Amino acid sequence: MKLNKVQILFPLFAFIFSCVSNEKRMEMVKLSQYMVEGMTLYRNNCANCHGIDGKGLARVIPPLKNADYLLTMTDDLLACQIKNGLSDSIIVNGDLYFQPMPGIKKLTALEAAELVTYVNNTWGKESGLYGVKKAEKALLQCY
Amino acid sequence: MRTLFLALCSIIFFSCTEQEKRLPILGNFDVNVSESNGENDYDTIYHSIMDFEFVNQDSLMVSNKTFENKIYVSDFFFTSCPTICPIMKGQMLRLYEEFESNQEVAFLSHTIDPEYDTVALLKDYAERLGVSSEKWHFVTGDKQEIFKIAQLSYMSVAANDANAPGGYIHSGRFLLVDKKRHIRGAYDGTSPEDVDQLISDMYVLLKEYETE
Repeated sequence: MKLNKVQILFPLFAFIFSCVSNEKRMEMVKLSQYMVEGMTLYRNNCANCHGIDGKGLARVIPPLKNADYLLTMTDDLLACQIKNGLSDSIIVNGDLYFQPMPGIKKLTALEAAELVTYVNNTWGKESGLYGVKKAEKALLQCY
Repeated sequence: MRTLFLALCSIIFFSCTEQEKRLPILGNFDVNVSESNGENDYDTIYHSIMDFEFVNQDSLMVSNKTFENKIYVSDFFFTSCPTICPIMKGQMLRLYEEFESNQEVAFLSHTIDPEYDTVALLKDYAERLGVSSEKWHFVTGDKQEIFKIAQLSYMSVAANDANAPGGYIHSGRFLLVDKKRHIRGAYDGTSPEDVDQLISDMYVLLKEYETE
């Protein structure tokens, strides 16, 4: 029996691809799942105020896009703020905002993780996946 | 052959002199019948905005007089509203920017939460939006008066509702009012497409006054 090139090369590539980067590939798949779910959650819960494009509203509602506030924020704290809301005034890109942000009381840890992942990787932080286990732990320790 | 040519010409001619678009007058109307010279005169009374007096972000009295010789867009909102208001205000800001230099256009946003939305807060809100108080009035006043004018004059919904996020229900409508206090259009203030329509309708309405 004589195999042609494709019949030899295809299993070889598949083997290399699956072994060498199995873990990484899983994380890539997970990241894109989180991004898709995160986008839906964002549009349903956040976009009214922060905008679908993340630009906020003038100096009434702060932007998320290129916001220095997000770049310096820890993922755990962000998860807490999304779930519990925010009543303190904050400074974003030099402007003071004091409009309270309502929390999303019914948010699960998975949903919080998806939202944090989406917000981070859509508007400038590019910090990759924020997993559900981290979110679970963080949400127990919110103050 | 000649008749065909003439027919074609007249078709082209009439298609060009198509009647200019005119916005309808919305709302219920009454007909007053009076007799003069033994004949009946019919006079249509269109729905129009009632008299009002509110206070704007500069603590100045705002009334129907403020909008004399202006067309204006009106809506209902509250500054702490977590749902549709920010979208509405974003869309209203688009309108404001489009007509910023037109003296015949104004905007009127009523708060439906006057207890929380004080004059100072409205002032801050307007400044944060970056808009001029000459053109865009954020008004407050007696809550029942605001609810009343929303429902009776602007055919909008505004009411307390403990179950609604933020404590109020209200419609996201933008109402276009002409120089005679008549409502000439109602639009969904949360829909960019509807607001596009509003922009072109405002130009149509302004044209009415050019020809008068």
